[in-house]
Amino acid sequence: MRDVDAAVIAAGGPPAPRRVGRGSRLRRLVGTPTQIVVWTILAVLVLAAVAAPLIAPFDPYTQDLRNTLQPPGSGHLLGTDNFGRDQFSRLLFALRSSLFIGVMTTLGVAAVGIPFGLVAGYARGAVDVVVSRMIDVGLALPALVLALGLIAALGAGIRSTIIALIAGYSAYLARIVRSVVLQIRQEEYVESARVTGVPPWRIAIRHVVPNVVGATLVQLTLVFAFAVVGEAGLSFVGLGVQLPTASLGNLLAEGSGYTLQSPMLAVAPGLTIVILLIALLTAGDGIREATDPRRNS
Amino acid sequence: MAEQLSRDDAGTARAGSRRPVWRPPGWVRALGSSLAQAFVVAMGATFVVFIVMRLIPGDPARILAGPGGSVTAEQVERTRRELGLDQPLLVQYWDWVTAALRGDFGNSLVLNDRVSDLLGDRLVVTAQLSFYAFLVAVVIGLPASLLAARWQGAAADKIARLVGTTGIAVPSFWLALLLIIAFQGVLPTFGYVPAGRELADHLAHMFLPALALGTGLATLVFETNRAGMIDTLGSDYIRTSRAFGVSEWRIFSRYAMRNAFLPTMTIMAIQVGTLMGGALLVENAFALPGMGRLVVQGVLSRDYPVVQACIFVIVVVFVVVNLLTDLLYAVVDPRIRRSRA
Repeated sequence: MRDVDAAVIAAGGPPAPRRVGRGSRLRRLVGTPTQIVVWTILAVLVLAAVAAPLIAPFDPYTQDLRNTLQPPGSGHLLGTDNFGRDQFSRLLFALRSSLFIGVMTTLGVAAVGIPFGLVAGYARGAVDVVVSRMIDVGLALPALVLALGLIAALGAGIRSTIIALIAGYSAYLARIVRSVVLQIRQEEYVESARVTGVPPWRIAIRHVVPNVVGATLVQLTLVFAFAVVGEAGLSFVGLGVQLPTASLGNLLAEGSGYTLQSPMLAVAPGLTIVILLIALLTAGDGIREATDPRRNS
Repeated sequence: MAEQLSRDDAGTARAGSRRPVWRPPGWVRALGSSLAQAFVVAMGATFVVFIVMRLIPGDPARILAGPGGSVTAEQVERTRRELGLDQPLLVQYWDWVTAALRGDFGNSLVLNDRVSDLLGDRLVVTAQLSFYAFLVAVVIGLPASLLAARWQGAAADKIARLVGTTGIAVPSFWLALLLIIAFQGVLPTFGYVPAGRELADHLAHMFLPALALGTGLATLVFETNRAGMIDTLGSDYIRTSRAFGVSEWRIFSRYAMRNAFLPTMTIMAIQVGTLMGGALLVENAFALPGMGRLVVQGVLSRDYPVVQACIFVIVVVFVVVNLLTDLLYAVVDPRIRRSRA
């Protein structure tokens, strides 16, 4: 649940503004061996989540009380949990719910954060002051803490988790978008466009929007990562996705009770989170590189 | 104010008698704007918390008036008046904030106890855990960043980036579970011992939780401070100092470290809220009797005075720490301290 500036640093500093470039972005995006590996991992995880009902060897919710807490191997790839349920199948379904929450949260944060950021960056005077203060207020409420409050109001569950995480991370994205807009406004070519009488809407479409899209994409990969950790944290203490529905956080919570007998129950879902997050963050790095103006010329 | 002064300035100049006009020094103005901003943010954030808590379904007056069907409508109305719940929302908010600042958070809806009594000891545990985690971050992160800045290069860059990414990717509550698995039987993995009773035992119980919570921040300190050091070491005035024969050690320890530490300090201050949020989760993993347990129970039972109080405390700590950082910045940074415009 690290946020804001951790993220900016992880993404390699504030996003660089870029001019609209030509050439194969896709080739640059997956041009390095690291990026090929990373995007392959992401593709495998997404496929596994989507196809979970087809590829899971067992039903994730069927209990088998004669075979509880089995070690990995023994007919069950990752062993069984305290109810004898197949851990590997549960992990696949957990990935499914966690990725769903990640996608919905990311879309929601984009829908809230981008407009607020654009308005704060573009407007002058009172509007800028008010929206910027709103963003400050949002940043003063740590995402997880605000999420706790919202879940108290809405009740725990997948829907509340998504709403709470959207509320928690929108201010973060808004602040980044605002700073990108401010940065671009000061660029010489935007200045000269303004001076030569190019109308504001044209400047917005030609220069500001393309630049904001590049920088925002990078940040959205981070928001996705935060959402996955956020779900895990909330579910870990029983306030996110409700049992018996499997999610990465729920699996961690259940596994935390059996660290002595079956450490794999807590290790496997955590490791999945870490792999997913490292892949997302590195993919974000790749997007940033691919949209970097210095590599355009 | 500034405008007013400069207009006066112009006026006196025209009149011919040039009297020096007093202008507040840079740090006073920095102090003023920091205070004002902190105030606005604190009010805004606590207001958001207040409104969110009002979204909780159910009538608090009815719940507090007594159990089940035994209460009459008149009793509910009387409770409502007593609690001020019939007042306009802004009045209620003001009453709540002013009471909260005096340490009065009202009564729990569920636990039949004053919230301030419930918070008391638990707040101490959470504060201790956060403080130790901070220590872990500084003790690991700072020296590592200095070493990394000393030995720069492509490989060092790669390692630094890897450390930074991993630091974000490993959630503190999962690290907590890993530490519990690894150190079961070696170090205490659950429970709490007050510092006053047996200090060594207290520290032993806090060691793993602090490590779990502080490692993420340590990687962040490492990344930020390393970047700051490398940036400063490459700047013009350092090159000039070198040309003037200032010793390499002095450049490193006096000039670069001091300049690089300011941004690191800011990042650490911004992370305070996140750190306390993480503390709530880590406490649950190690069965520490801190605010984490209380707030989770409060959320589950929709005990809004408890949740409200916990969030209030975290927001106030966040705002105060960031205000202090701003002030420290204004005092330490000569550009702000001496500026007059």
